[in-house]
Amino acid sequence: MNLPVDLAVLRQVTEGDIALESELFKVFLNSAKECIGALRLHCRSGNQEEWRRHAHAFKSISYGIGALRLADLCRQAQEGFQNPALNKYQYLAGIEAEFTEVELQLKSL
Amino acid sequence: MLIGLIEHDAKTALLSHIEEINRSKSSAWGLAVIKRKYLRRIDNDAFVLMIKPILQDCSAARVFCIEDSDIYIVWLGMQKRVHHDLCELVSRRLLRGNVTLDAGSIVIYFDPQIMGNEISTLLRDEESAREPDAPKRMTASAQISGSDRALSLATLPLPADFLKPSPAQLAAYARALAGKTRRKQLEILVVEDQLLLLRLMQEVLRGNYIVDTAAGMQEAWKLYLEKAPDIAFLDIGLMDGNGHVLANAIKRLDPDACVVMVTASNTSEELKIARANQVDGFVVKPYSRQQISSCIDKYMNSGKATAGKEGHA
Repeated sequence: MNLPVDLAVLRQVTEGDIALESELFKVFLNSAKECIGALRLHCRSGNQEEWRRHAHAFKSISYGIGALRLADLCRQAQEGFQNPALNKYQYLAGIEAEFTEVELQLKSL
Repeated sequence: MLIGLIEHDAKTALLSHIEEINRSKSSAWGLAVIKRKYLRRIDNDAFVLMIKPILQDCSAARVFCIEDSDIYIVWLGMQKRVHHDLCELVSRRLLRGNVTLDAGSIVIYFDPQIMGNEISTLLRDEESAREPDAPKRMTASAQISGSDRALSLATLPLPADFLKPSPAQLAAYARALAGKTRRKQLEILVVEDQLLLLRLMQEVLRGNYIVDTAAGMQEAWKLYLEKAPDIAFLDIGLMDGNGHVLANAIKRLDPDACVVMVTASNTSEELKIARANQVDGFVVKPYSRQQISSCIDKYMNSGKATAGKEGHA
């Protein structure tokens, strides 16, 4: 099974600079947690535009770090911004589960 | 010289060739699309015989003749010379009698590493347009068809009110423009609201350029008018607005400005708006150093660059 983070993606930019990678992982984990918090909030509030915006932001940073499966889940959440709350909770559950895997991999490095 | 003509399943072969080029990370590849509707009737084999001398110094070249569609030529090395010669050949010997367009509009050059995603999306669009029952994916504003480069101006997002420069801002912009020729290094504006992605872009550009950053559209516009950067890399999905709107405002202010869209959404709608805004590049995340460097190289070789020639490797 493929790892949650394809490090080759990030290394196209970092070229193996470990200190830089570690800095980027921290930034990613902080931003990702903010995104998850915002998605959870807007799942409840029903604010579709805010949901779409945060799903998009999460997708972008996930691509940036090479978390491609997570990025794809965020893309689905972004595209489903008009769906009812129940669907959004399902998107969110998938995103949170994948994020846990991503976090585990990044922290093991 | 290695030259191959691909007729059967040419579209799939072309897409996989573009992927291969992107994997190879070589910026020496060139790609030209020849709009077949402007050419006189010519057999594909005869066409290849005619263009063979132009490609003789290239170490690899392939011609993809797509059924009922355009001809794509991909080659390795001497991009400018080959494109120039293809334009010459088409205008002298291959045009239909009633065509008055210049050859540059018929033989369109792409950098496959920068524009590969755009080409892939356009090819897929072409495919779905042929299927009569294909679902309509575009919004009404982006459905306008027509010539390949022309979308109606009505489809463009209009600049928001705060993007109208004041007289004082225009004066500052004019001063910054005048100072461009004295710059020793290229000045680049990066507009990105995600700290991680901003940091990645700073890393890519580190050392070689003066980099200004903005996290939102209003801040970016203010900075643009103040600094008149040589190149602007704009994220599309910004927290306080849309990068297309900013690109549109920049291009209205200065059609020669170099604007590159950077996005995680390479939908055909995004591409069409970017194209209608006549931006200079479209980079899809995740990007590599090579893709960003190719955009800068393209600007440096465009004849628009006045700064940074010495420092640019």
